[in-house]
This record gives sequence, structure tokens and C-alpha cells, in this order.
Amino acid sequence: MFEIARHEFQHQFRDGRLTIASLAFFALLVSAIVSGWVQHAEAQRQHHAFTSEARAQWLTQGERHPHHAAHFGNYVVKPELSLALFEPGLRPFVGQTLWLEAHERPAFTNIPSEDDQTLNTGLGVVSGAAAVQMLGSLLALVIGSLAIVGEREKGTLRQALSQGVRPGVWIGGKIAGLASILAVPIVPAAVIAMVGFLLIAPADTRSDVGVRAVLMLSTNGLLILIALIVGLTVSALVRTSRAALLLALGLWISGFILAPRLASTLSSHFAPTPSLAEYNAAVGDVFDAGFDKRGGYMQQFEALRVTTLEEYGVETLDALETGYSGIRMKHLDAWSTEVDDREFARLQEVYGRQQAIRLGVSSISPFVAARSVSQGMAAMDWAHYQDFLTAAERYRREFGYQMNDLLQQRVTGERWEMDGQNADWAKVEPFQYHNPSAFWAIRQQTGFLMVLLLWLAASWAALAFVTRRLRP
Amino acid sequence: MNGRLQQEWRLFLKAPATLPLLIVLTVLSAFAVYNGSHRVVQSDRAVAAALADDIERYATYEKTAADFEAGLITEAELGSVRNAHSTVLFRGAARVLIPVRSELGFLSAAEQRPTPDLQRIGINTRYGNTDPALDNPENRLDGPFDSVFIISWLVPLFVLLLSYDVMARDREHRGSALLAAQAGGLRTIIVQRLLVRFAAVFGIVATILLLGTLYNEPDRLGTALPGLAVLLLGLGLIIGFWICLSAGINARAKNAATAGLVLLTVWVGTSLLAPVAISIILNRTAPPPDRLQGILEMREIQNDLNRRRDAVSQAYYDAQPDNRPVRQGNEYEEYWVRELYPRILAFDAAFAPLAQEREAARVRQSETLRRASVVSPSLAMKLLGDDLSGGTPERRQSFLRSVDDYQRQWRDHFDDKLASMRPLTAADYASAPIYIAPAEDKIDRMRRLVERLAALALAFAVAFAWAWWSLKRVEP
Amino acid sequence: MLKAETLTVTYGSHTALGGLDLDIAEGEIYALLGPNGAGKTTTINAFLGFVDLAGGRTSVAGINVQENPVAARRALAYIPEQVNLYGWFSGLENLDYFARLGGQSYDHDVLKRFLTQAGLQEEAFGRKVVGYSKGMRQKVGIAIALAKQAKALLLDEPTSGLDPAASYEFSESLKRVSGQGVAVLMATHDLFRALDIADRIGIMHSGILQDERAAKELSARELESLYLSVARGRVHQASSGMKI
Repeated sequence: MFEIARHEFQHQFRDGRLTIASLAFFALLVSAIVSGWVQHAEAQRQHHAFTSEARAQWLTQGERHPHHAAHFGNYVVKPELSLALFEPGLRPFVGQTLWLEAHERPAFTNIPSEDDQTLNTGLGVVSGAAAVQMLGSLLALVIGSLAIVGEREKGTLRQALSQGVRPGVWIGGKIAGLASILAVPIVPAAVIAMVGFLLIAPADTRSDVGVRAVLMLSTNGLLILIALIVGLTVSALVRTSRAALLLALGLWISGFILAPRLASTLSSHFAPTPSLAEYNAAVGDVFDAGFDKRGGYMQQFEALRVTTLEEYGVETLDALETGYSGIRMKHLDAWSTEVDDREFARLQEVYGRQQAIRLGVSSISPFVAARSVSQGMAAMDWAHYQDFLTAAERYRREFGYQMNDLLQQRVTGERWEMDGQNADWAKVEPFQYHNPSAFWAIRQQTGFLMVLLLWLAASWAALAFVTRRLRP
Repeated sequence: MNGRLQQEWRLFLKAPATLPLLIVLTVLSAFAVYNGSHRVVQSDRAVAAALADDIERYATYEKTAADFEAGLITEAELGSVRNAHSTVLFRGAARVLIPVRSELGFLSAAEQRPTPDLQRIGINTRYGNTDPALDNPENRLDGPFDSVFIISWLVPLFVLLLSYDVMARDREHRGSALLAAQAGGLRTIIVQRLLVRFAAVFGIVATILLLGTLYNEPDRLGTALPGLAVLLLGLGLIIGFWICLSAGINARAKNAATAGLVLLTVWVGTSLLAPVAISIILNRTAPPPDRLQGILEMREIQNDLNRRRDAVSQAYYDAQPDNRPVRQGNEYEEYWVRELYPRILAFDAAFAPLAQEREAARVRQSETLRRASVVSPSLAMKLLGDDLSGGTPERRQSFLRSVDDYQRQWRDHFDDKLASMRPLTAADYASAPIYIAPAEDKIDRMRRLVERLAALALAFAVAFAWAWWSLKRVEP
Repeated sequence: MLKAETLTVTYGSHTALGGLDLDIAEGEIYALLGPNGAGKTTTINAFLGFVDLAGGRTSVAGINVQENPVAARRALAYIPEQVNLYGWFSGLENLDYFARLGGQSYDHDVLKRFLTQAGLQEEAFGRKVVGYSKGMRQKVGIAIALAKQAKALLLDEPTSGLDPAASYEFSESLKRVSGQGVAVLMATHDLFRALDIADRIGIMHSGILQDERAAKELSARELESLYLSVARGRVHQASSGMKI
């Protein structure tokens, strides 16, 4: 097999066409990685500056009512791992920053693609991962699809098989040879990327980044291997290069261009995300009407008044020595949190159904699965963004509570007016967030990983099947 | 159709790959139109619901005020409609403004967010209250399955698949010498073969787009059909571009696979890599507006105005002494009217230029992007389709300008009652300004469309010249 | 050494071989003649295990081709009408590669000796095959067969398109191979060459071996007459649907 692989490598090398394509691909990959590196460094610098300036603005906002301070709110930034230089994932369509404001569950509103039209110009996003996934797979599929049928057309397949070599061994050698040729541009680029990941990563996250990087790069490599095997299967099946090329292109178009869009379209059709107006209306209805035999807000407001009077043993709210406005705001936030959590859980179910549809579509497109895993390993998939959202929401509730508490402590009775000072704002701890571990990321992507491995097994089995029947 | 062309047509249809490919193209084009129509229907429904809600709420305020003035209801039943701060200041009586949807909206989701571009306009500032989209961003990652995607990226691939071997296949099978001996020679045969492919692809896509237009815009055909004609002209040019490339390659290629690979490389170069290269270059040379900087500037203005709040209020009432409050409000009224309202006006005065500059930066980037698209027919075609479907920053800029104008009128209308805490009357509601969405600047739009068509025509002309040159030297 | 028993091959409703029996001994050269479509190449493919049989069996050196095609191919060498080689490699590199595919590994001197034995000029050994003539390619094909040290040799129209001198050289090489005890099955249209080198000659038509003679029993004129009668029979059969 080694001899066959070596021969294939030399053959492709001397032919020159694949060598040129590989060099061009290498140049493209390195440019994408370098460009990603520069952009990542610039984005990190900008976000560090933004984080500290936004924090400074919070700390120096001056005299303000605590509730207005809660509305002024805080900005938080999702930290990115160095892997994002290779795999920016959903960033262009989500962004990194969240505004945390009173009463509002945070959602991503600073979306780069809404400002930057260059992010919507092509068939995907500019990145090393996109180059590997889209173009690397196309290259693998095309060279795989021409590899056997080309020899069949030239007659060398007949010559080779008549020598008594086992077809499986011959094709195994072909795979190894072609994979080696493909590795020429990919492996050095992967090494450069790996060096980048580890150099940029802070020392305490290096091991986690290392695990994630290996998995991310392996996933992309696996996709290319699958494309190569599928290409070879096509090549073994058909009689002419024309047919092979047609079929390979058809597979690429359907698997890499149509399937992802189909997944999005099916998701939107069969598991439609509610519009903000619908979501807010649903929250508003439950807020007013209550749920689980609990009355709506006005009833609770009245009940709160009664229990507060009882608890503090006073006749009127104005007689309270603590701030009822703060108590009321705390209760309002607690109730809206409960209502919102309930509605948000429904939204999560919608996302879950959309993910299931995507998983289903990945059974016809390994690209959908590989990209999802790759984004997950880079901490740039929806699961990671949602984890960040959850942490940010927790922080929002905490500082909202602090503001309400401040109000309760500084006024008495039903009074509302008061101003907090800079010293009060400083008591709100800065937001801290770390991306979850690599193992958490793997758990989120288990389904897609399984699909990808199934793809590998199925394509390998299909190739083995056609190999057994291989004829010149 | 002459006899030879008919014969080529029959041969084309008999080729095993032809019918499956044409069927797939038909299904995909129809699916994209269906998707676009569905999106338009959903969007129209959301817009109609928002407008109906707006009209109903506003009419209720107006009627309640009128009923009170007619003595039909008492002060206790009145609610808050006469308190300007609790009606016009907040969303209660704010109006929903919606841009006019373009005639060919079904073609492309373009820049449109999953929810329609609604602006709620009242006394309060419109900046900083961007409604978040709840949509799963994974659904936006690949872009929409719309007609512009089909025309710009898939149609070239289908042309490639149908035409890459029109003569290379015969050369491979050593049949080209025989064909060369026929009357007209290889050049005529290549041209005829490619013409039937052009007709098939153009015919299918154009018919489906026409049906989509008839279905979606039965009431606006007068303006929709000229737009469709522009789009079809672009479609003809992009198909022609690929047909000419096929002609040039087939004049020389010795085997079909090589011809296919060369065309595929050109497709990857012009449709995938060129947009990527443009994206990287433009990110540096025509950067998008810096939103984070905008946020910091906005918050800085807010903090500054908060620190100077008394001075800001004082400045407002000094400038408009007639608007001084006629009564003492409760602590909420005092905050909202005396303190917050002047601050809102001061904030908008300070921030509006920055926001306008951000929109201008988007327009500048868009201009540069359109010029750069001359190197990528697919991108030029996409931008043409986006423009026709209404997805351009210029259109949004024009809409936002009209929104700002309207907000000025709205504020002017309610300003004195709000600031002076005098009660609103039914006449105040009835005489509130009415929003009229701006008509698009036709000349500017025409210029943009002509530029895109010129880019496509240039690509076609280059490919045509090369095909002409190659076909003159065609050999068996 | 090469044995076919009631060999039957069908392609859909068409019968390519209809119960062919053949037995070629060690050192024997068997020439298979017949018009296009007679079934000659299908017979060779059946020995190579490249076609599915509808009936019968083939064996090479006692190895059942259908049960163990890889082992059977190891025992034979094959030279097609057009020896197909890798154009970007030299004759020597092609020989080395194909020999290794056949399970043989030789050093360069031995490989050169095979090429010399096959009649290839030494100056061509290191040149890329893309510049070789058809005759030179055929010689590399013979060298591949020699290197394989096979017990049987299958030839499919080996002299087609060769000039007379090259054809003569090829025949001489073949006689040498046969002299080493190799069984040779050669499908050909070349009556003259068949008569010159074959021990036995079989004439096929429509998948059936119509006639078989020892070469020394036939003169050139008799062979031609026999061949033409079979070929005319084909014309006759095509119009009447009857076999001769």
C-alpha cells in the first residue's frame, strides 16, 4: 500500500495541476489564518478597551436614581478563545456584546452583519475554517472523483488490477496518496494555526484550548477525509470522468451549499422562532394574568402591600421605615423573572427543535455536522453564546437586585426619589465569565459528532462495497 | 428555430443529465420563490398587525379624550389620556413607522432582519432601543434560500454543469473531426449547443420569477414588471457570461473533465474567492461604522447630560419660557417632564449626527462594495437583486431620515402640552402629524441599477470577446 | 495452465460467450481469432476475473479465477492492445511500480535487464513514457510481463498498430517467453502473425469457438479462407438469425 501511496503522491506531484491547486489552497488558508489572527487581535484589543471604558462609564455615572442606573445598565463582552481566529463561528451574526438593562432579558443586538455588508457578500464567512470546509472539501471531492475513473479511462486501472493487486489495497494506497497531497497545504497551515492558538491563549486556558484545537482541526480533517472517500466512491462507480465530475459537483452543491440553507429554511418553517412582538405579548399576558393558579401582577402587588404591612407591623406604607419602592421593585423583578423564565424555556424548546432539524439535515450533509462541531470546539456556536447569555442574565438580575436594595435602604415608605453615588456603583462587581470547558463543548456537540462518525463509517462502507466490485 | 437548432435542442434533451438537472433547477427556483413569497406574507402580516395595533391604540386615546370632552365619561373613567407624560412621552401613543416594501421583496431577504423594520416613534429618543431579534443566528449563517441566491450562485453552476463539455466531449470521443466537416463547422455547432442551454436555463428561471412577480404583486405590476425586466436583463448577462466562458473553453479543451475543472476554478475564483477578497479589502479600506464606539459615545452623552441635568432642564425652559409647567406634578411627573424630557431632546441633538454618520458610513461601504463587485459577476448579480428587492442602505437611510423628520413634527406638536403639563385634548390627538413614507429617489436607484448592469455587461463583454477569439481558432 | 470450461457470459439479453471450452498447456501459444464482437476480449476478461460469468469457470495454473481472482491474476501477465502506462513516469519507473503491484521487488539493474530483454532501447529507460511510441509501450508491457515471471500470458491484440518491424520483434519476444514454459493466450486480428507464432489457432464467432486447428496444419491461404467463412457466417447469421 505504501508503494501505491508513494506512486500516487509522485503522480499527482508530477502532473502539477493538483500541486498548483494545493499551493493556491495553502496560500488561501494561510491568508485566512493570518487575516483571522489580525482581526482577532484587533477585536480583542477593541473589546478590552470597550469593556474597561464601559465599566468606567458605569463607575463614574455620578448621582443617579438606582433604578435609572439599572436602566443605564452595563455592557458585557463575551470573551473569545484564540480558536476564534480560525473559526469565528456565529460571531458575525451574533456579535460579542450585550446590554444588560432593567426589566429586559438580554439579547444580542450589536450584530456585526447588520453594520458590515461585506459579511453578506458571498457563500459564507471569511475564515480558515470556512476555507477548509468549503474549498478543502471541494478539492478532496473533485480529486477523489477523478482518481479512479481517470485511471479507468486511461487504461492503467486494467493494467494495475491485472497485476494481481487487491482492489482494496490499491484504493487504500490511493486514499493515502491523495490524503498526503491534501495534507501538504493543510498540515503546515494547521501547525501555523495551532501555534497561533497556543501563543495567544492565556497560560491557564492553554490545556483547554489545546484539547479544543485538536478536536476542531481533527473535525475539519475528518470532513475532508469523508469528502475524499465519497469522491473515490463516486469514481469507482462511474465509467467516465464527465459523469464523475458532474456527480461530485452535484454532491458538493447539495451538501455544502444547498443543505445548510435547507436546514435553516426547514428550521424556520417547522420550528418558527416567535417574533419579539409575539414573545413580549406572551410575557405581558402571563405577567398580567398570572399562571399556575397564581394571580397576575396587580393581584400580587396588592398581596405584597398587605404582607409588607403585616410583616413590618405598620398601618400604611408611608409609615414604613424601609423603602417600599425598593421592595416593590424587587418583587416586580422577581415576578417578571419567573414569567420570563417560563416563556424563555418555551423559546429554548423552539431552539431545541431547530437543532434537531439541523441534526436531521446533517444526515445528508456532513458539512452541517462538521461545521457545527468545529464552531462548538472554538466556543463560537449557539450553545456557547446561550451559555454566555445565561451568565449575563444572572449578572443582570444580581445587579438589578443590588439597585433595588439600594432604593429600599435609602428611602422610607413609598418615597421613590433618591440618588445613588459613584461609591454605590462600585459595589457592583464587574462581570466575570469564562467559556465552559472542552468537555462541556463536546457534550453539546455529541449528536453532530456521532453523525460525523456515522458519515465516516457509511462512506467507508460504501467505498469498501464498490471496491469489492471494482472492474476496469 | 431553424432545423439545426431544433436538432441540437433534441440532442440536449436526450442527454442523460439534462432533464434531471433542469428539473432540479426548476424545483430550487420555485422553492426559492415560494420561500420569498412566504417571507413577504409573514412580514406583511406582522406589519399589518403592528399597524392595526397602533391605529387602534391611538384611536382609543383619541376617542376617550373626545368622550370626556363630550361629557360621556367622567374624570375617574378617563385614565391617563390627558396626561401628556404618560401618553405621548412613552410608547402609549407612539406611532409605528414602516418603510414601503419594495415591489420585488420576494426576491431577496437581503439585509432585512427576520422581523420587519419597524420604528416606534414618540417623544422619547429612538436611539438605543433596537429591538433584539430572537431568531436563532444559526439560521442566518448561510444566508437565506432566496431567488437572489439561486440566480447569483446556483444558476452559474447549473450553466457550468450543462455546458462544460459541449464540444470537449466530442473531442474526447474523437467525434469532433466529423462534426468539423459538417456545414458551418465546429463554431456553429458550439454556438447552437450553447444557445439551447442558454434558452433552457433562462427560460426556466425567468418563467418562475415572472410567476412569482404575478403572484406577489398583482396590484403593483406597473412598477414590479420593469424591475423584473431589469433583473432578467441581469440574469441574461450572467448566464451569457458563463455560456461564453464555456464556448471559449470548449473551443480548445481536449477532454471534458479538464474543461469542467477550468470552469469550476473560474467559478470558485469569481463567485467564492473574489467576494471573500473584496470583503477582506473593504473591511480595511471602507470599514463599517464602529458600533462599539457609537455605544460608548451614546453612554458618555447620557452620563454627561445626567450630571448636568438641572442645567439642561433650565436651558430648555429658558429657551421656551411659554412651556414652563403650569402646575406642580407628583414626583414621577416632575422627573419625567421637568428632568427627563429636556434631557431626551438634548440627547437627540447630541447623538443624531453620530447616528446619521453611522448610516452614512453604511452607505459609503455599500457604494464601495458595489464598485468592487465588478470583479465578481455573482456578487454584482446579488447586489442587483438585493437592490430590486429593497435591501440597500440608501433605502434605509432615506427611511430613517423620514423617521427623524416625522419625530421632529411629532415633538413639535406635543411639545408645549407635555412640557407645561397642560392636559391633552381630543383635538391634539386628531391634529397629530401623519407619517408619509418617502418615495424612493428614482434617479439614484436607476443609477445604482445601471451601474450593476454595467458591471455584468462588462463581464459578459470580456467573456464574449474571449469566446469570439477562441471560436475563430477552434480546431477539431 | 489456462482453462475455460463451458464459459458463458451475458450482457443483458446478449450472449457474449456461449459455453466456451479452452485448455492451453504450458509453453503453448494459442491464438484466438475472430471478427469484432466475437468474444475474444471477453474471454481474456474472464481469465482476468473482470467479468461476471453466467455459467462455467476459468482457471489459471489450477486457481479458480471466480473464487480467487487476485491469486489467479498473480499467476498471469497481461498485455492489452494498448499498454497503458503512467505518462509522467519513465519506462523504468512504470516497470518498477507494476512489478511491485504484482508482488515483485527488483533492483534497478534487474529491471533494466527486463526492459532490455523486451527490446527497449537503453536510452529510453529513463525517459517519460508520455513521449514513447506505441511499440515502445508494448515493450514495456512485455517487460512487465517478464518481471512478473507469470505462468500464463494474456495478450489482447498486442500487435495492432505496430509497424512490421516492431511486430516482428514482438513475436520474437513472445516466442522466447513461451519457450520458458509460459502458456500464452493471444487474441488477434493478425492472421499472419498468428500463423507465425501460435501452436494452436481458434476462430470465434458470436461467443462460440467455431473452429480450432493446430497452426502447423494450416497454410496462410487456408487460414484466411477459414476465417472468412466464419466472418461471412456472421453476416449470414445477422440476416437470417441462424448459426453457421
